[in-house]
Amino acid sequence: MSVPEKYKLKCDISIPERYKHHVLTNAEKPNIPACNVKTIPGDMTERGCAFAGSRGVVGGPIGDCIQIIHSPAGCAWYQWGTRRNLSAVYAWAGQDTLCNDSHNRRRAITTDLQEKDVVFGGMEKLEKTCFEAWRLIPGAAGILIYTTCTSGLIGDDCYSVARRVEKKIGRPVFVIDAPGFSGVSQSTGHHHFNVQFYDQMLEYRKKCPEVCMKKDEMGPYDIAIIGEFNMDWDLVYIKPLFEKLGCRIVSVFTGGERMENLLKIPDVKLNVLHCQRSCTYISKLIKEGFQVPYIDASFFGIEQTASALRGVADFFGSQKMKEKAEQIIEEEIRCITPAIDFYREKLTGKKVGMYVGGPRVWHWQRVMKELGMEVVFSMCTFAHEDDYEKINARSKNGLFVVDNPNEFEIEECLEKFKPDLFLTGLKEKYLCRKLGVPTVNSHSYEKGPYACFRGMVNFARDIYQGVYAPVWKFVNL
Amino acid sequence: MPAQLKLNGRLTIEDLNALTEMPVEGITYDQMYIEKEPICPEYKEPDQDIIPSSKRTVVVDPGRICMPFGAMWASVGIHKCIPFVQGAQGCTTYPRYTFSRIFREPVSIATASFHEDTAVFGGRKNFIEGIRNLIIRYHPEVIAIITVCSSEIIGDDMEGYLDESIDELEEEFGPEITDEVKFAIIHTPSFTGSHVEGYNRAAAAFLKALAKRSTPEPKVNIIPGMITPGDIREIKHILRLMDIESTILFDISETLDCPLRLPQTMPYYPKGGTRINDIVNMGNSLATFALCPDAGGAGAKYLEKRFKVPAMIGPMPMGIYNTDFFIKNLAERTGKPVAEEIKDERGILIDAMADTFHYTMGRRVAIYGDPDIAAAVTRFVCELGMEPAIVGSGTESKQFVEEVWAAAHEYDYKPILLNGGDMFEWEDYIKKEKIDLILSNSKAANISKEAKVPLVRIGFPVYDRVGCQRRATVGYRGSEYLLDLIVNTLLESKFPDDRLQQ
Amino acid sequence: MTACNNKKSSFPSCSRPSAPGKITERSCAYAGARWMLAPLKDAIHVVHGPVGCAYNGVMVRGTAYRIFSTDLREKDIIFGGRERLARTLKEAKILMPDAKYIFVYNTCSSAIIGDDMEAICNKMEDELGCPIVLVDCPGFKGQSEAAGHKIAYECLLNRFVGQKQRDTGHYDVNIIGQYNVNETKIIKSLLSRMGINVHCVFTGDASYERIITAHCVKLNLIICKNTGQFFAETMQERYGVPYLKVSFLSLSQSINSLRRIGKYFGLEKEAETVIDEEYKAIKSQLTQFLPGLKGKKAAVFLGAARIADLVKTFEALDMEVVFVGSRFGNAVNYRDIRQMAKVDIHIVDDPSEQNLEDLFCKLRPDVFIAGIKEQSLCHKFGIGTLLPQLGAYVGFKGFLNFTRDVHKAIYAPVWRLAREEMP
Repeated sequence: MSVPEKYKLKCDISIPERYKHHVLTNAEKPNIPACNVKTIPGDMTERGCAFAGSRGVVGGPIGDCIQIIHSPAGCAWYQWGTRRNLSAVYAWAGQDTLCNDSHNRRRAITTDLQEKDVVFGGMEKLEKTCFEAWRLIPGAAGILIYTTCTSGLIGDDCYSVARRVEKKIGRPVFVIDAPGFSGVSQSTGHHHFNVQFYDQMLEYRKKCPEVCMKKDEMGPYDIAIIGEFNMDWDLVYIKPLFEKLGCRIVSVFTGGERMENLLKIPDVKLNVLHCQRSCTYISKLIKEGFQVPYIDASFFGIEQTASALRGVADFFGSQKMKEKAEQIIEEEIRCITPAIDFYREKLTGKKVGMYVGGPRVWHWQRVMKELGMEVVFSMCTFAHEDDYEKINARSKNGLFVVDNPNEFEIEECLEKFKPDLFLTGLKEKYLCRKLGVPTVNSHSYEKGPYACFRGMVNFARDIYQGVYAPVWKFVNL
Repeated sequence: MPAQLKLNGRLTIEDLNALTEMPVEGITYDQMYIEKEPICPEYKEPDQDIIPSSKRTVVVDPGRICMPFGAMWASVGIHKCIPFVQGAQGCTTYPRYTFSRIFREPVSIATASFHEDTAVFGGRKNFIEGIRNLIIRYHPEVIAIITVCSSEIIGDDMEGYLDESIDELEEEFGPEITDEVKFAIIHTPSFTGSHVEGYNRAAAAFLKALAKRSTPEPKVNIIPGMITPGDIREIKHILRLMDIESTILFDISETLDCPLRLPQTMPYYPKGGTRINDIVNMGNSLATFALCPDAGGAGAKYLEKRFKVPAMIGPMPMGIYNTDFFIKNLAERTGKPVAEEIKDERGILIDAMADTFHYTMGRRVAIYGDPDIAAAVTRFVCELGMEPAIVGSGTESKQFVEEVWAAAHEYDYKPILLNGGDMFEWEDYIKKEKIDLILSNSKAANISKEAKVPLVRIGFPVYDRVGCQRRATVGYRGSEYLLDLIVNTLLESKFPDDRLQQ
Repeated sequence: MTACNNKKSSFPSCSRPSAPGKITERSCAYAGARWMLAPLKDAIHVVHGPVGCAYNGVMVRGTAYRIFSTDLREKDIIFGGRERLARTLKEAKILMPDAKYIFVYNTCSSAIIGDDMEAICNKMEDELGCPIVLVDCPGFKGQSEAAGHKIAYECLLNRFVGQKQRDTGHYDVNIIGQYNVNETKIIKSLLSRMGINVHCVFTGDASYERIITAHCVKLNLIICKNTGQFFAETMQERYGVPYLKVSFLSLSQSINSLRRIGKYFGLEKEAETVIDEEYKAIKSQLTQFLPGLKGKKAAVFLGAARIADLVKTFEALDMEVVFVGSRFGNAVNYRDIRQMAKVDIHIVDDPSEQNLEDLFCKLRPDVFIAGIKEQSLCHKFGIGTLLPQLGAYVGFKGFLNFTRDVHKAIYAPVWRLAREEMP
């Protein structure tokens, strides 16, 4: 269904196929834009590649592994400490000191493919690289090998290398084959990581059953949090909530987690799925393979975090836990009400535009409402149909939604809807600056964490500081 | 606040979750205390045998990035030029992130959006469609066509595609459509070189595509290399004082450091950048000054070979000797006298050096960066009486080695030289040798903290401090700023508070 | 300037007021008093005057000290500032309740308006229960800061020294005329390794308790002859404490001084052991700088008492001293220099900036030993400087420091770069 004339963006007149990606929401009869399809070349897309999705988003947060990029140096460099997916696991910097940054962000390790490798193949180099990296970082718990465009195209059999290395070092060596050109966006990288990690985890658990949780170690309320990447230490607020509830968090996939715990995910009783775009795949696979159910959860905002807690309590069915959930929710709300009231008063009626990868666009519709703000348009980089269903369900009717927006569309929407604030990422924020629109970094946050009740105060503060920064008074001379 | 305040007022995870009322200003990670866990319980020593880069295959913490990045850097220095990257989306997204981090500016770069089918069938369709969309939506004056690893491996015939693309455009929109837009094709497969070479190739490619010789003009060409907008402004300032007309290829000073002035036109284009006509005219100049031999030297050489425009290649004008050399050559080539103001600026730098030599002399310095910058910094620290103890370049370069040895020889030092070695090796030397100061980019920040050696940030990339892109470290005034940074850092770290007043 | 040409017998005329209007390098009596008394950290220092004098008196020898000011305003100048002084003293004592004694500095303004500060000090002394001493050092007193030096020592001698008895150890000494805190540490460590106990250092390491018992020692060691001589002589007169003039600048003088002190106390063997160990520790490092210094030209412009010692030091380094000068030298100082130096040296007393410039150009020293004010001027002529007040240059390690720093000053690449001509 196409949008009414007044929503037709002028910049797309010459590429009319873009109009299929624009819709107005409707809660009863969801309108789903064309999505998860190829990008129009040269349209100035904001999308990234599958490698970014696998290494940057899903694999990047893993805390204690050596992550080797099988590529020329550039791809490894770009992933080096750039995303703020934090971890408590630090490598040794010397006899008595730990490094200054967590291990997952501290180093860039690469095969640095050269012309002759491209001609003759890079497998030998990869194998040597794995062994050497192991000798240089002897404390690591395993190795993750990522392919890229170059290694993907020259057709190196990385799996056979991985198996040989694994045998020698006695630790898991997994390959994530998601070269940049595969799929339409970083979303493909998420998918590849999920499936390939699951397969290799399964294989490794079979080969080395000692890595599985022993029967007597298992608890009745063991859960794993899936699809939470610990941006700016969101886990500081997520984990204690569930622990207060009486759950034991065995593992987080993958925020700051250790390999040892990742291998135990199939042994839990319930998976709590936060990022339902990047990690539904593995949740489903575990459900099918191990009969471990999962529930969807949002850890943003008051209502959604409360319902996540209730959802888990309901799953376990214990009356005590249900009561505990209510008690926690009451306490948490009381704890943040004065702060949130302050910001709601300041922010009520302010217009906000939103452009994130996918899930946060629906996670945050309610959050904005809780802060009294009006969402005036929403955009997603790599959302699929199910994401757009959720957006339709959680937003006001008639919200203008754009799938895979390009730079020009963003400019036109900022001009058209004149939001007081734009929730967006790093690349786009400087464009917004030039148009005089404040932003809050919605990928790595400004001064997080933003998750759960207590994190919401930080989120509200950063939005408030964006909207009320005195600089905007001087922009229009 | 009932929760116990500890650890210098920072709150543990338990404290945070026990607060009964969140402060209105929230609590962020600077107030949080999160205990570090070691990767493995006991310290395990890295295998010392393979710490030198030459003894191993693996590259850990490379000091260079991919070749297309350098070509994109160059291209965004041209007025209304959009780079079109023939590759996967990551090949533009990553560089755009990197530009934004360093310059805090929007950077428009188009991608051919390679997906699986492209890898199988080639990038022809994506190219033609992409160029069309770009031209009709953005009306750029120049398109820099930049290849990457994937398009080079699958063997995309860029020249052929471009011809085809122009044909199709003219058919659809009439022949005028391509009159207003120029093209340059830059081949940058990353597995054959780094960003420095990418910039170098872009300089040659643009000049080959556009430069002409008609009537000689009394002006000079400047190819600055990968230096900051602030640096370029300083070069312009020197030229202005000398009353010399010039063309700066690639002038990022007004594309990667732009004012916020409303209203903006749409689509957003920075107002600055090198104009096409000026590039065309570069064949008519008196001389070409390539300030960074490895990043831009190829462009100067091309103009010399093709149009007999003398090429003055390097060194980067930082410190006294190098800047003297640059100014002397400027004066010689143009016949203009050295302005009194410039002599004063030199004198002020000398004066600043004279007033601070007791702080700097004898200090041992570790330097790492792109070859041209690292070499220039090496000479400057020698001039300050500091000892370059370890000098590394992420990109391998003959010129770098020669320049560093020349300076070291002149001042009687024997630095450890890492030509193309990675930062892991360099880091190891810093942790083992006695070093007083690090001069490197933001990637050395962790090393600095771990080795407890202070860091002065310079070169590419600096993303964890603001304003570096606006500051110059070239010319006498720029060197003076760098000197201040160096001395202030030493004062901060090496001098107790009661020794700071004289 | 009253200069003198280099004839063995001639000295510059000195100890005279500077000619008005010339750009003198001299300072005032107040500055001299601050120079001496600032290191007494357990005292309250109150400056009775407009706030500027206090502000300028905060920083002494590179270190900031706490200072109180009565902050005199126009109406106080008209109606008198006694009330203000009394209040300031009271408040200062509240802010520093542990202070044992109080110095009140007179300044030009307070001296001219004629506040009876003595009376207020006496009155407040009873009220606050701690000695309050008037340091009568208005800026116009005397010809230079030298006047203030003497005033400060008079205050200490007349009000504190000798107030309390203590048991005197066999090897107890005072050091007089050593103000640099870091150099004090070096000298104390050398002496303590010989078995000598340094009781009080005037004023680089002193306290109320040690000052009032300072007369109970076996020997006074004078470092700065100008300021120290009078102090030591008075102590000899009043309490019978003998004194020895010593110097720890340069190797030979350090060795000589240690031997003389050893001989006095019968600790000759101990002295030799210390000399031996110290020399061994620096020898190899020292020799690497020596070839570079040979034949280089030095000039010295400092407090007068140290100049002769420095001349000797440079001669020991095979360097030539091309001129020396002081802001407030006396005839004795200049005679000492003449006697000490192997060759005739150009001596200047109280030179103006212009005189110094002439000397830089004419005599072209390679290094200039001076203070902060002269340093920047000297740099403009492409000559390296060294500021003794910032370093620790006494004893053996200090001599190594000195040699290294002189070497740095001469060989900083900047001088060569400055000389290279622009096109």
